[in-house]
Amino acid sequence: MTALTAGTRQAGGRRRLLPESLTAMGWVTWRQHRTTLIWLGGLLLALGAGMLVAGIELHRIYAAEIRHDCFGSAAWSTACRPLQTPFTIGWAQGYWPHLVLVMQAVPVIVGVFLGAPLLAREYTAGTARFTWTQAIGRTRWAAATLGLLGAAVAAAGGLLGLIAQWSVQPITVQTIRETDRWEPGFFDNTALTAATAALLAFAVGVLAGALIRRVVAAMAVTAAATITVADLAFSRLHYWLVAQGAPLVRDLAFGAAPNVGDLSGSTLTIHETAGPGVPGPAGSWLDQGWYTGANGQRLSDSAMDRLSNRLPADPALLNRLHDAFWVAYQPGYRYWVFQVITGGGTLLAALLLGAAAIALIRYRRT
Amino acid sequence: MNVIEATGLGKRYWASWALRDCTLAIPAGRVTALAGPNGAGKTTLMHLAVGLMAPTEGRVTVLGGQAAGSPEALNRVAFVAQDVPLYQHLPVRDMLHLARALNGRRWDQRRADRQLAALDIPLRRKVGKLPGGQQAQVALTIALARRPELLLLDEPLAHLDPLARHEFLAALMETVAEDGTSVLFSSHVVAELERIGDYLVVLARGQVQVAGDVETLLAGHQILTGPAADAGTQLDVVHARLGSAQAHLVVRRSGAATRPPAGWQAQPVTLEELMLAYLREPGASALPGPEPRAAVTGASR
Repeated sequence: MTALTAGTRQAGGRRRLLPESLTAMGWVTWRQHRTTLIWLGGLLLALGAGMLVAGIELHRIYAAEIRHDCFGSAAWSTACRPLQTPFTIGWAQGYWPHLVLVMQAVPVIVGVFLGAPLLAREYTAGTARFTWTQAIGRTRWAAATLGLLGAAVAAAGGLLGLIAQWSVQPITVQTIRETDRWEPGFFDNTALTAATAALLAFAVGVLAGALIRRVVAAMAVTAAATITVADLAFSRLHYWLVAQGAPLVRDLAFGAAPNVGDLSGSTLTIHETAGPGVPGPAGSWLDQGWYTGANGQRLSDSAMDRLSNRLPADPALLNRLHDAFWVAYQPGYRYWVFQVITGGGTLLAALLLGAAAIALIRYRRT
Repeated sequence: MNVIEATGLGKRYWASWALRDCTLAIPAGRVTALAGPNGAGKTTLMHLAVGLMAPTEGRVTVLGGQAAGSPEALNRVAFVAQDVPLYQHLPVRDMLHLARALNGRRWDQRRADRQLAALDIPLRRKVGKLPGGQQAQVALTIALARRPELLLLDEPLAHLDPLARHEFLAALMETVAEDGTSVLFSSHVVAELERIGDYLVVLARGQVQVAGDVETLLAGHQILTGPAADAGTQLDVVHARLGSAQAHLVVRRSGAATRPPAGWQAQPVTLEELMLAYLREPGASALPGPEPRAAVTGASR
């Protein structure tokens, strides 16, 4: 009876059940990783829901602020003060640094708990000897598994990035400079960059598992590698990248706030987005600043020292000396260019690592 | 057609060779027993034949020239690895579904269902929770449902109790008889090899020591019992067990020396005795070929 019905089903579904077909491999991938996918998906879902709740609340407050004209004439009215509190001293102040932290943890979690065990467990449990001798072949199995899980990882990361960006918007527009879109914690958490960052961490985990073939060791290496890469990207690579590509230069006119950056020699490192309180072309990323003298030459280190010593006591000094303050900046419209460069570069790295893992599976037969 | 053909096949792990200079042809339609002591290279040979490993030297093909591990070969060769690696956390039903998804067209669900029903294996139970015998049966069911032309079994009986062994072999032989599948299986258990194998390959120290049809091998050897003093004279001895008065010899019945010398008693050899004789004499060999091999004599106490 069982045999009969199953046989009929088999005959009817034969076309759908080819090993090549994605539905079959989709089922295999889901069934093999169901437990991990459920708890990991649940965790990401909870994080997304938390961001959604925070975002809705922040957007609600922001809308009320607009309604009460809190950014205009009524800035210090009794109606506005309680609305502004979350942003100035309240919970929204704690929200964005935590958001950055969580969004940095997501790729690490994906790489460690989904990526690293993926192949390492096949080796340690010996099931590679089963799976890789089935008709589908090891290469197609690996390509389908990595492709399907990679797509899911990228989709989840992208969705989280989208929610994160949206939820932090009301804070960004209210003068907290660190939450602006060019800053590393937020630049790399758009839908595009969050998706590719998660994908890269997943690929790092998969490759570590293929190389090390031990679950726990692969997880440890993945954690170390993804944290190191993210840290380097966050603290160095990002600032280096957005200073590339011939930044435009502009005279910010006399009296430009000289306290916007850190002085080293005659050059200021600014690393700010122009906006409220930071002079410059709106929405642009200010990279460096320097002073020039009356005849247009750049001030020497010693001249800079003398100027910065006298400026606090005599703000009008710049005007009198006919000095000028210049900035090198990336204009706002290039934001998406750098988004695509960052996202594309990360995607490329992820694809290369994934291809390396598949090549290892295919060619290493020891 | 040869289901497995190896030429100068060798596999080295770091400094030591697991298999070396292995030249072998196993004809189709046979149930071949692969015997040999631990570390003789049985598992290595199987892994090479199924493409899990690549040879360090030489080459191995399956089913009349297909490269081992190629898509065409994997479509027609099934392998049950040592210790039966299956996904322990999956219920039997899902394990089968997974295997079907990984195999597609040739998969025979009806056969799998029938076999599991006959063995009374609970489909909802997780594979890891089944007793060893049933796990082996699930692995065999999956392998047979692939309708392989060549089936490789690496120590399939190692952890099974006698009843489970019997059931496993019964299930195997039924399908083999039905489909004419060629089988290569390795085992330590000489009695089981003897029961179902009709072709024998003995590996020792990474090389083929004996290869041939079981009946031919049995007909080509005999046991001679006689005075210890005469032992080893003009006889093609594989292995000699010398007592104080009597010698017990396994000898090749080559050419003229088919009749026992005076004072000696001849007995037919059993497969177990034959195998043990060769396993005890790693230097001796019995291989098919156009010329009979130079006689190798040896004696040990």
